[in-house]
Amino acid sequence: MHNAPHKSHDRVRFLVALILSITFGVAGQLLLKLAALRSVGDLFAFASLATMVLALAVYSAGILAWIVALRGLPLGIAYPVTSLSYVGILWGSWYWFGEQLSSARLLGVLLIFAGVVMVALPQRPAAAADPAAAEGRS
Amino acid sequence: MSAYAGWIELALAIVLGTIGQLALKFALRKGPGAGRSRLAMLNGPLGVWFCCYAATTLFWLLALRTIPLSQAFPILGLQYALIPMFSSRLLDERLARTQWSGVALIVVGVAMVGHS
Repeated sequence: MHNAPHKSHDRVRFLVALILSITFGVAGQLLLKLAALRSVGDLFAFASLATMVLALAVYSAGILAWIVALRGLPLGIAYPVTSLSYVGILWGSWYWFGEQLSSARLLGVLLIFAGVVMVALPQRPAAAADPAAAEGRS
Repeated sequence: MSAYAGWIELALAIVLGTIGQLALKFALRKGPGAGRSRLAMLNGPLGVWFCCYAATTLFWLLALRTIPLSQAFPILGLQYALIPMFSSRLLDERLARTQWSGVALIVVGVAMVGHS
């Protein structure tokens, strides 16, 4: 019974980890895109390699935060929140790289996200979500 | 040819990512086995996963040189349609009906984003 107040405090920690994992994941992907663009013309340009190293470091931090988050949050909460990754990457692609976001693209992303959640979270209680699937994001 | 180069790289990233995650599932299922050291584990499915992960990252970067991130990233989600399809076959996993519906949604969504 004395665990109850600790439980709500711990929850916050795991939610923070979840938010961090999404933030780092989005930042990592945007940095990877930047690294890729900088490599056009010169595959091993220093600016590209440096950006890539930073991108992978940030992205790895995101993976670690995701693993931490999953220790204290059910997949049913964690997975829907990853929709923010799609939002962040779409916005970042538009804002930083001037990409056009047509309504077909946005609708397609919505369908993909809905599909990913449905695959990750089976409705039948007997069929537990596979932990390996939970480790793999994006 | 240069118009398709990015898409071939993206396809490779998706395929390798799928194989890698299937290998990881397989490795987690099998466990280390009797008498095998942790390093020896890299010889099996875990090693496959690591190589696939490295290769996927490489092809992902190459694909991003020409393909918009807002297009490529959602399409990467195709892995989550392919993985259940293969794990139901190879790993004897039973999938719920909602999961198969999810697979269909992903495929339709990827087709839309691919043509956007």
